[in-house]
Amino acid sequence: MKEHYLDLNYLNELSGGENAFTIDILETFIVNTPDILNEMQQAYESKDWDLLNKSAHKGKSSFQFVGSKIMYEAAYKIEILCAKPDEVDANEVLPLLEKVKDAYYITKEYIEEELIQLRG
Amino acid sequence: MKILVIEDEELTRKALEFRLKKEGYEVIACMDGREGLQRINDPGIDLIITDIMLPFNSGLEIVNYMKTKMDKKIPVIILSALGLEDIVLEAFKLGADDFMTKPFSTNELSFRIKKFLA
Repeated sequence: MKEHYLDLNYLNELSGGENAFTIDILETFIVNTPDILNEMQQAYESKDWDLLNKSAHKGKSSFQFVGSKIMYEAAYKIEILCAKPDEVDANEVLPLLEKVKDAYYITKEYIEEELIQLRG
Repeated sequence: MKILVIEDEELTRKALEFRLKKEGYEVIACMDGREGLQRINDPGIDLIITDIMLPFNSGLEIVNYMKTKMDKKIPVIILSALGLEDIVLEAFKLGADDFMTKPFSTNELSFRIKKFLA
């Protein structure tokens, strides 16, 4: 369901009806998120659990902005799993990382539809 | 009234800047702790809002610097995502004046700032 990937209630509260702000945030999300996901992927591949913990922590702030609950929850779980680097089970982390990445592409499509409407 | 915002996460930084300017405040926005420490000594800053986890210098270092090295006392509001309660407590011990969780609400932001800048 769309609202699991994109929920603009929070953004609409922040914007107070100013579409230019909402457009800026959505565009910034699309531009920045691939780098966040790449950092998380590279941290996973190098088994740098502290970096993955920090990247997931930062990423989930962004994901909350656009109300992507699936991305947020998966990133939050990654953050928790990687909080103790000595106890990380990579097999638990990988499916969550894939979930964040897959959800991003769906979220991005919904955002692009939204941007078409916002731009008039 | 001038507010210094120190936040490396771009969406949060943009949102803070947008909301604060809408409320009539002048905003200096920094994207890391090093820049934040440099701008702290800019004239006329009335309030600082800082994230805790920052590149180069953390929010805790910024609070500690302000409370131990600066003559002028400027209120500091700490921004924190849920799950960092221990660090927030540490910030209070160092002298932070208030905190907000991320994502912040517009009403809460307005209320907390007016507490210091009324």
